[in-house]
Amino acid sequence: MRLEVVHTTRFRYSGKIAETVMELRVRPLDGLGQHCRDFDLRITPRSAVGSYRDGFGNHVHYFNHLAPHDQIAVVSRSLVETGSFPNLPLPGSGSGGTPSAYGQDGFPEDFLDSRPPVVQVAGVRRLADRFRPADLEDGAAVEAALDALTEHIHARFEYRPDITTVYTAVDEVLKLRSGVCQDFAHLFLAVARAMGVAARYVSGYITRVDGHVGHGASHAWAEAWIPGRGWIGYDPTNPVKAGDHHVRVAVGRDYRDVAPTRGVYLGAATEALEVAVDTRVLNGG
Amino acid sequence: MLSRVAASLHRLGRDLERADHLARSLDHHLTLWLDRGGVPGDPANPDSWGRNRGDDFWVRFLRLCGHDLDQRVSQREALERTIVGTGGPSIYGAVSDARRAAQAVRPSLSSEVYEQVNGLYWRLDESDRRRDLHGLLRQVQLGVNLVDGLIAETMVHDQTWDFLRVGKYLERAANVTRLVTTKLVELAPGAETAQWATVLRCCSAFEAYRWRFSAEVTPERLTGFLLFDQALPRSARYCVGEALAAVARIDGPGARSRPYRLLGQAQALFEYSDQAEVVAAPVGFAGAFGDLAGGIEEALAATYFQPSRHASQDLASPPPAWASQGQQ
Amino acid sequence: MAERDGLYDEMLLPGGAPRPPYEPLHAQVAEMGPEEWRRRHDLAQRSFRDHGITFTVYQDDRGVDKIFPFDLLPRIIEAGVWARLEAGLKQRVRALNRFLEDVYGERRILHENRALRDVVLSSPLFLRELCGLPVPRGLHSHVAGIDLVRDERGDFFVLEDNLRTPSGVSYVLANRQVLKRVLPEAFTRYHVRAVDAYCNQLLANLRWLAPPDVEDPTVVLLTPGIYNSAYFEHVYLAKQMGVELVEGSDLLVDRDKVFMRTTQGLEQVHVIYRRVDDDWIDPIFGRADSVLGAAGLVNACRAGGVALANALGNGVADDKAVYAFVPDMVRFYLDEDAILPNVETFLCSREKDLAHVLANMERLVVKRVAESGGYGMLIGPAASAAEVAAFRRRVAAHPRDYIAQPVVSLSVQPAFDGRTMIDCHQDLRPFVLCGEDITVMPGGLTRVALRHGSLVVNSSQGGGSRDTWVLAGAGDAEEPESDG
Repeated sequence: MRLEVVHTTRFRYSGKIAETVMELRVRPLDGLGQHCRDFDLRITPRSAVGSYRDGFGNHVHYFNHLAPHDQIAVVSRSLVETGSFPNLPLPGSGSGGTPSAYGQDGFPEDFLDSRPPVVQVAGVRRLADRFRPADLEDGAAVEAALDALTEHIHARFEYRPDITTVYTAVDEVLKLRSGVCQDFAHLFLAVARAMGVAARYVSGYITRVDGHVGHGASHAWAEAWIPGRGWIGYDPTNPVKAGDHHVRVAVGRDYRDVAPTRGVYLGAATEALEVAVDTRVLNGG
Repeated sequence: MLSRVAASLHRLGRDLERADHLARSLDHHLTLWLDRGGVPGDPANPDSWGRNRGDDFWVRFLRLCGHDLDQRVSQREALERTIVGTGGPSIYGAVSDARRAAQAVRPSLSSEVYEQVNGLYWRLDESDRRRDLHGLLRQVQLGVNLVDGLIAETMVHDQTWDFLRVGKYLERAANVTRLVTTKLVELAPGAETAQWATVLRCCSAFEAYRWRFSAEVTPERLTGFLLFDQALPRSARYCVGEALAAVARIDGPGARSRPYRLLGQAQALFEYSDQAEVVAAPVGFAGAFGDLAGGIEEALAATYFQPSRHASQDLASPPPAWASQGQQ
Repeated sequence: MAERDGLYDEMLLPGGAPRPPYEPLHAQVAEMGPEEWRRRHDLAQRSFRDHGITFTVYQDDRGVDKIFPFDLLPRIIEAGVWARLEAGLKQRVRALNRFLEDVYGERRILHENRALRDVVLSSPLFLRELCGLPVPRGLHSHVAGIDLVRDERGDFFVLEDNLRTPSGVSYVLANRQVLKRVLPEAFTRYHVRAVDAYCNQLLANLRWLAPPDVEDPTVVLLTPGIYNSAYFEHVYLAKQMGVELVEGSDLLVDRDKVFMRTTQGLEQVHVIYRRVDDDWIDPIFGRADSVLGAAGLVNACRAGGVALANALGNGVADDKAVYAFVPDMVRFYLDEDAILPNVETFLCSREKDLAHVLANMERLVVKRVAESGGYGMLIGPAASAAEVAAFRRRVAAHPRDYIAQPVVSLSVQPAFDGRTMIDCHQDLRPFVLCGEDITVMPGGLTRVALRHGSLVVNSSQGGGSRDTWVLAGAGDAEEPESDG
């Protein structure tokens, strides 16, 4: 499927600020059946943009702006071809490629350990005990267990914007029994890792599909390492396996590794944030 | 030189001068108060002294030191505030600020200077102000003078030295101007000589005055001496001249920075003001100098100390803030 | 002392006679007599206080300057012994640098060594977000402090590696200065190798890291500020190297270049010797609330606009579980056998080791893998039953966070406690500098546990230090230590 995504982030400040430094993770990834055909980034006020690939293989752009200013706009436009899971390594082909400096093809164990906000509390362990497959080497069993976990999170947790923040940890989500995609992805990661399954956080976009939530802003889900198959995406918010409606932008241990924007500035002004994500299917597919 | 270092040197010079000035002022005001009051109300209860006298000697003293207050205070409370108070300038506060500033610029100071500032702090911290107040006040004055001497003799006379001097001389000019103009308002024309002598003593200038005039202390002569004398190292005119010279050296030949221009205007104020007019209208003169002094501090900050020349004025306190977006 | 028989005394033979290298010193001490010794001792302590050679301990919001207690008796290391230590240290640091380059790059060793892979990938000190970040000259640790101990037979072992921001070198330099003033006659009977080349060497190495197109690079030392306990050392090194001592707020990053804010405007910085921890060095990279670093600094490093020493992410080499694999690294990268042995280490993440540790905890030293400075450890034989039980629970709950080692009976040397001589345990932290070549400062910091019977030598835990003399051998052409 060919998609066009326009991601707009606007920061407005109550007064003059200066020395903004910001890092962005907004360029879609290449790989696992997805290809980013075109990417364009506009920053206002105009600033020189640097870029690099982080330790997980994500594309990172960054800029700084010294002179006093009172707003910043970041607009990214991506042209993406999404694939579907047949493009994944076939069963038995192992991790699919030699490990490189970039974590994309690193060890699954890179994503076995948790740190806040993904915390291993009793509620997580209970869920892990409930869904743990008998044999962690049996890919089909692991996949089925995670399917069930995905369904469970969707059924038992209410999707409610504004009840959690970007800092909300998994224990809080368990208490609230509600949250947004970020919280559900964190919960999924916590339980999968507690089972002994390597799992990572995915930041990205989802196209407008009936009954699905997550469009209009940036979306998040999880990927788990399935023996014999590789990384498989699970979107507990919707609840589906990630497919060609999902655009993968960045992967990491949790939200902290993949935040679309991360920045600091100098000044006492307060910040107001406005985010819009517009996804469009280009060829009717 | 790092902006932060320049700012700390400026503060160090200022705080040392402030500690010295507070200690000397307190010392001589205490003497004056005892002279005037004779036997206090209840010798066994120092708290009752000020109240029995029924005037606001100590309130006026604290205001002179830069404290903001309206209620009566006892002598004892006034001493506490001046020595260790936190609500306004105090000796202990000035010395510990000076020590912190010295720590922050330790690589720029000679070891001798750093050790003496540090030592002054510890001696003050360990001293017993109830038993030997005069001793403590002397120790502060001598300690600051020792540091001053070490700065002059053990450090290169470069920018480091100049920023220390700017801080010291601006503080001294402000102190002496405030002291003289306040007393001109407070003291009636026929006030006792001891009052005016105290003003001179607060500036270490009593003996110098005698040598210069060998005559009775009058408000006119005192004003001329403390504000406008060219050779007295504690006259406001002398101090502004020294600060101007230091800034001129910092800027280098030909440069006309904003601090330099404002200091030049301050120097002109002392150069060309009429002594009799100041005595007749001290408040106006104090206001004129106060405005200039405030402008000079701002200009110093903007020119040399501001974290960045790109940052605007109101960005002095920089709490780094997050710009983060959640995912839904 | 009853336990004495089991301990190695650096100075005295079991009969009480001095070991050969200590003979002239021993004779001098005897000639001097206890009164004179006490006078010199007091002189030395005063000398430290007068010169402000202190570290700061903060209590109740008020700083207290403490001197690092100093013992007059130097420790003597003979030329032959030192030559072997030096070779072992160079070898170890060379291997550790290769390991860091590999583990943040190709990860070759992790493919070969499954046990090490498990330990690295589960280390909280392995910062995988740094993978692929190039470092100037491929060098990660420019200043390393390797802690050595001597067992009851007098053999040296490596106890830990410190490749992040090891401190203490200023005390080595200050100790030598003070001892030369206080006990000058002792130097006349020995040919002691000088230590004062350290700062020059460090400065040369730092300048070598600068981007290649910079002819006369600006080097700065980044300190967390006056409230840091090692602030004295930062001041001392900055002064000795003649470089600016900066705080995070002095720095500003603009388009991959780093500047310091000066009275004349912005001035570019090319190399930063940083004494601020990874987590605090850049709010974009690490803790968002940090004001100790500069925003954008890590990306400036990545783009080659500035060099950091030490590099980021070195903590993984300090992980006390990774430590157990250093001999493997020496073999893997250098194809050599490790010259300096490790202390036997049990990894609690291994089931077999865990069972042993839980069963024998009162005979072991248990350490948290990610701690340094003597914190988070249990010395089994010295701990109460309740402390052991509490630690047992913690280790059982988080086995990967702990390792255990047999108690090494650290060597002892007499030290003056103000009244009399007592036997005190000590270790040795040599400092290894990596630049175009690897250099080891002769000797290092001998840390002394001045509390009787204590095995903890860290300054934060009440330890002191003494001067460390490496004697020049026949082949050493260098000048003897002289005043100046």
